[in-house]
This record gives sequence, C-alpha cells and structure tokens, in this order.
Amino acid sequence: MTGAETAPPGRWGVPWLPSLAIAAAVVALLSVPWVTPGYWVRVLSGVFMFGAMAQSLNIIAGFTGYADFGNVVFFGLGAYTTAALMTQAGLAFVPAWVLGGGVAAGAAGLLGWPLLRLRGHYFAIATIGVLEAVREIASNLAFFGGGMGITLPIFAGTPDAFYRLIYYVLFAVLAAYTALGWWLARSRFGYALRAIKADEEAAAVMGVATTRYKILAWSLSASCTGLVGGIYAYWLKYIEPPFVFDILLSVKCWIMMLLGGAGTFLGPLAGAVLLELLSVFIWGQFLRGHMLILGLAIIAVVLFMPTGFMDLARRRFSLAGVLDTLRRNRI
Amino acid sequence: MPALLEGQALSRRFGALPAVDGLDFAVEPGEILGVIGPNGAGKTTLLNLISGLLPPTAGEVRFRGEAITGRAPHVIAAAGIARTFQVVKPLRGLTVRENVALGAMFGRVAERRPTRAALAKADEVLAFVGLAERAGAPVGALTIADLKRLELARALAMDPLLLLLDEVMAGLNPKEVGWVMGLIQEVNRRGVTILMIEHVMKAIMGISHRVLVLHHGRRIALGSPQAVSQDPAVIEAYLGRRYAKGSGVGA
Repeated sequence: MTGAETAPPGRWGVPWLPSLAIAAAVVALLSVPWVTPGYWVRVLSGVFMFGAMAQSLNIIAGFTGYADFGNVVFFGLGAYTTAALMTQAGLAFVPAWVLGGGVAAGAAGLLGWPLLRLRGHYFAIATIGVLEAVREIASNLAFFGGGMGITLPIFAGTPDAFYRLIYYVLFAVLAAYTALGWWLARSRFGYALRAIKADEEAAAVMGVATTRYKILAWSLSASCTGLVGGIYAYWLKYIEPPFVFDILLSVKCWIMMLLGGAGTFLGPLAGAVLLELLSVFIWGQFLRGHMLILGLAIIAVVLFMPTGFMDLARRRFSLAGVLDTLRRNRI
Repeated sequence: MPALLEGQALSRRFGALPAVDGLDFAVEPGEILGVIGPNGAGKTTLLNLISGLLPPTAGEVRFRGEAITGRAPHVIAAAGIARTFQVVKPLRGLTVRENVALGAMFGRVAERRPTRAALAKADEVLAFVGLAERAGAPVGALTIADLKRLELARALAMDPLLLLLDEVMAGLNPKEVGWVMGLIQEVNRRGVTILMIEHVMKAIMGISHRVLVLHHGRRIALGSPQAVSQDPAVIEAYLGRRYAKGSGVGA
C-alpha cells in the first residue's frame, strides 16, 4: 500500500491551499481523543469504520463494476476469525487480526473463481446467498461460539486509552484505504479494473487477464473489509452472527459509496462522513423512521445523482439530466 | 518465410449452422490480407476465432508457428494480435486518452508500458489517427467516425504484430474512407501485418495485397484483388448479387 504522504506536493501538482486544509483537518482529528475524549471519539470512530468499509466495497463495486451486495460477509469473517483466534488459540490481537484479513481474502479468492463468472444481477444475488449461508454456518459452528457469539479478552488499560487506540487504528486504516483508492484511480491495476467494468470483452482482447484481475480485486476488497471487521470485534468485545453478518451493513456501505461517487477515491469517504454524521445526529432521533429515511436516501441518490454528489457539484443540476438517467436505466 | 498466422481446417458451428467450415488460410508476414464475402459468410466469426473470443469446434490456429487455438483472449493479445470491433466497444468511464493508454499498458507483452509512458504513447497514437484534440473527452462525446478511429488507436497502442480490422470503414464518408486507407497503409509500412474485413470495395481492392473471399464459412477464392474481382464464383456469390440488386432484377 502506498501512503499519500509519499507523494511530494510539487511533483503531483497538488495546490497548496487544499493540502494545507487537509493537513489542518488531520491534525484536528488526531487531537480529538486528547481534547474531548468520550462521545466524539465514539462517533468519529464509527465514521472512520464505515468510511473504511465503503472504501473497501469501492474496489470491487466502484472500480470493477461487480455488485457485491453481500460484502459484509468478509466483515463477519474478519471479525469471527480475529475473535476465535484470540479466544480459542490464544493469539494476540495483531496476529489474529492480520490472519482475519487473510481468511477474508482467501474466501474471496476461492468464491471468486466460480462467482466472478456471473455478471450483473446474478453476481449480486450470489453474494447475498453466500452471506446468508456463511451466517448460518457461523451460527452453528462451535469454534465460532455458535449462536451464543464470542466474548473477546479485555484490554489491559484504561477505557480511555483503549478507545483512543481504536480511534487511531481506524483512522490509520481509513487513511491507508483512501490512499489505496487514490493509487487505484491512476495505477495500471486500476486501469484494468475500470476497463473490466466498462466492457470485459474489450478489456480481454486488449490484453487484460480479466479473471485474474477480478479475483485480485475481490480479494483485496475482502481483506480490507475483513480487517475492519477484526477491529470491530476487538472494539465491541462481543460479536454474534446477526450483528456482524448483517446485510444492512452492506446496504449502508453501498449508499455511502453511491452518495459520494462510486469509482472515485474520495467519494466513499465523503459519503461515509455525510451519511454517518447525519444518521448519528438526525436520524438517530427517529428510531422507527430510520429505515424509511435510509430507503428514501437510496432512491434519491439513484434518481438525482447516480454518479455521486462529488460529481453533481461539478456539473449543474438539471431536470433533463434526471430524465436522461431514468431513460438510460430503463426506469 | 513461414506464415505469420495460419488456420488449418478451422471450423465453428452454431448448433447446426457452420459459420466457419473447414477453413484453411495463411497470413504472410508484412501483407495486407483483405477478407470479403456476403453477410453471414463467417468473417466476424473468423476474427473471433483468431482473437480467442470464441473457441473453434474443430481445427487449429497457429501464430508464429505456435498453436493458439482455444487460448484466452488476453494471452493472444499478449502474443501480439490486436483487433477492432465492428460494433465499437469504447470503454465508458475512461477518457479517449485513457482508452488508448490501456492498450499500451497491456497489449503485446514485450511492449507493455508503465502508466505514464502509456499515456505518452496514447497521445502519440491519437495524433497519428487524428484524434489528438479529443484526447481528454469522455468516449460518450465521440461521433461514430471518431469511435472507429478510437478502435483503431487502441489496437495500434498495443504494438501488435498482427492487426485484425473488422469493418473500420463502415459508416464513414468517402473522404474519411480515403483517409483511413492511407492510415492503414502507413501502419502496414511500419511493419504491422494486417487482416481486414471490409465491405467497402474501393478500400479492399485499393490496399489489399491479397483478397480472401468467404461464402457460407468456406473459401471460394484467394488471390490478387484483380484476379478475385474477375472470378466467376465471386461474382456469383458476392459482387454479382450486388449488381443484380442495383439494377432492380431482385435477388
């Protein structure tokens, strides 16, 4: 993974004002746990977690064009592997966590061989099927604690120190995934994925090993998601199948990705910040209506800004544009 | 000198229909081989068999003496065969420059470039095909004539040894046809062997060194443009019917 900080500003022509604003935001975010521990640390940790998950989804869905609606399965696999290795095998967090990411990547690699031959709706439905199946297996596997779930070892330190650690780890993961997205948007690997999304046959005759790239993309996406799941398990200390294999987590990541702009490196991040803050501060007040508002948000995004609000800000809004979207999508 | 590309008893059936039927052919290094024939003669199927998009039901394809039958399309592209599509396949979501750069990043394995060099190569190829001023445009903004040029540019960026062209002149006006003919001859002069399918007779007769005529998936003639155009079998199967239609006798 290449970090954004390895890019000297002059070389890439990054204007100094946005760079300064980003640096100021990073410093502000890094100081949050010291200035105001507690509530804000928890809220922002959630924003970072969903941002990282939306970035992970973006690799396979946004860049490669494969509609993985069940990507939370890798979140669950990462969470469960981390939890089981820590409790059953007595591993420390870091090795258990890394292995959790590896298990998620391996699962995607194995599933990808048959499933990535499917396209469009068929792939989407298959991923949901896999999610349902894996949740059932996890619920009945003694190693995974079955339906009882798993309780993870307690962190030796003060709660403040623990939540600060989680906050920084999630922040670092989100920053790394965003840098990965930045790299994907301009690397040869990313070009291959975008070509696959546009037209697999054309990509293949131009020399792109489509199957290999799709499997790599899905494994990368899955390992990223799985690593977030591992942190989640360690953070929450208790996991059970309905929580970590919840399809609503997938749906949420999808909305965040689409809201900000799929296939861009800042879109999923922006979408996650917006949606997660909105849901904490506004929708959290309407416990019953929460899902309804989420549903309306999906419809609004698809109708009015199918390429995300980052793109919408660049273009001018027009009714003709909305109608054109409807027509092109045969709605 | 051995043939660059050879087909031996190459066949492809769709159900009961033989689209390509026991075809033997050879493309000599450095030549422009024109392929003509009525609609449904198996021309595009032949290209799909060579480029690996379709596996043959029987027979063999050899490229530089090596069997490539049934290989994956990207393996065949890496070996040095590039193609264009009759129904254009622009990569949406990528700009014109990025479309072409992809060809230079992948394409023939000996000529693969890192992204920056590939983008430079794309600019060079776009200038060559006359699309330089559209480099930054999204592909959705191109006219059909420009999309045909983009197909050609992408294939050229792959630095192929053999270029398969599927009706790159269809839908172009006479002036554009003349311009693309010159372009293809220039590509050929730079050492690229070309196999081109075309319905525009002026083009195929004007620049092909040899012409292969297909009918019902079989070879009915092969020779110089001059010889082929006077071949009774070709007049009967292809040229003649057109003339008949033109004079209103009906087919």
